[in-house]
Amino acid sequence: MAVNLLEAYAGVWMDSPKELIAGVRRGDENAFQLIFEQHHRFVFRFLYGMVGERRLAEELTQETFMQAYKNIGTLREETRLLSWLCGIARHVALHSLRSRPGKNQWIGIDDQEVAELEDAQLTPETRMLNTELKTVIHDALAALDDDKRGVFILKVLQQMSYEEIAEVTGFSIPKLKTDLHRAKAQMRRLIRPYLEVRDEM
Amino acid sequence: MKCEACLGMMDELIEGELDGSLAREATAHMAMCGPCSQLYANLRYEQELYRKYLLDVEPTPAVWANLRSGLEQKKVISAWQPQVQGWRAIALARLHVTPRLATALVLLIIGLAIGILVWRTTINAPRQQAQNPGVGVQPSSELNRAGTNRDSDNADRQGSANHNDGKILPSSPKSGDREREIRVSAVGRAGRRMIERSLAVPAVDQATRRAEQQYLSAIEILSRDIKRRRAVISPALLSQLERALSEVDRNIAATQKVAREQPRDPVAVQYLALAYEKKIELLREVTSW
Repeated sequence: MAVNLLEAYAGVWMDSPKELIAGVRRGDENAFQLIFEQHHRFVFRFLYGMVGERRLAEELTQETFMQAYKNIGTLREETRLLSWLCGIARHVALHSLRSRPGKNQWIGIDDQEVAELEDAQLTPETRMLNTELKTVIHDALAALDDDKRGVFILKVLQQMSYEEIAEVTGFSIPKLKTDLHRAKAQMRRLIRPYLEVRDEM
Repeated sequence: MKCEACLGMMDELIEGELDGSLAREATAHMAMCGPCSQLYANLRYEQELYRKYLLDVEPTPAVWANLRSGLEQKKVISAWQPQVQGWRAIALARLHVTPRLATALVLLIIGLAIGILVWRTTINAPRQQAQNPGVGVQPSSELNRAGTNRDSDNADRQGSANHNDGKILPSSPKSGDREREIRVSAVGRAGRRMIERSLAVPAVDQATRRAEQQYLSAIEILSRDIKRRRAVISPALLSQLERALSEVDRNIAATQKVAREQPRDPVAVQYLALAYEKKIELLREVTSW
């Protein structure tokens, strides 16, 4: 209980990124844990969107934070911590996707995983539609190429600004806008039929 | 604005990337144009679906545990260890002794002294019970009477008196009897020390945890009160408070870790209590604003 409460307080009264990074550089484990607490969900979700598999996304989240810990000394602008972490996560994800055997590396979303994401209060029909929709989005994301998928996740799903995404990816803003436009069009093509069925219901 | 221009801006409007004046123009157009308004609603709905897809996905708590053990295995976090060992230096460096803190410290020491007295009293009863089987003759009524004594020395004396009543020693002590009295008394003390040793560690640990729970309850109440009043506290003060609290929290975490590792070290426990006291003091000050 004590530990949970302390964690809760740590969440309420957060240090500035600058102070936390300085703490990690001094070897302060608590500061690193606070950074992890603040950002691991965002990083995990980005990685889940990128690789489409929960367990792999968790492993890659660990790898991301491990690399972040080792290379914290190279971070120049402390206020850009999240962009920096996402940059590492993106490299980790791309490395994992490219090092796996077979070109289409995405694993199909399994029913158990989808079931875990469902809201228990929904009606069976809505739940079935949601499950189907998640599978459709999952498959549509898998069909995007890695760069477009990354931009789509960061912008549409995680609502980062173009400037932040440019920092994460190293791409120019015009390229990001073009990639996003194409990604959205492709996603829409794949998802539209499902949405029409849903609207009819 | 025409529909074509509005359609071209719709994505940027949804993403929140559109300039204020253009966003107002587009919104005004959609308020009058049914098809554009419908398309905008569809796009917003689509966006929500995408966002929900990721929001439902939560990482498991095992991620941190695995990350930590991974860092330990690769010896990346060896630098963390000296800090734990040098906790006294950290605690001293982080605690700025103010007059208020000094007062709290004095109060804490008084509290600890009282606590130790009470604790010693509570272990008197089992001590007395263990003392008697070694002697083997004290009646149960006498045991109960001895168990109610407040001071340990008194209890010791009472114990000796009880042995007299229990017919080990005659009622009028002579020189030989006195030696026996001393011997019995010594047996009693040795037994007491053994029991004291076996009871002390869990008792201290339990007492520490109990005290910690009380501190945490107080902190929770005060924090809730502050949360309710956040809106009326000025941002500058709030930011100062948050900085101070995060420092105190870190101090609590550091001292807590040491106290967990060395539960028998009274200094570690004292530092932990002090860290909690500081947080309570800080929160109390804020609630009095």
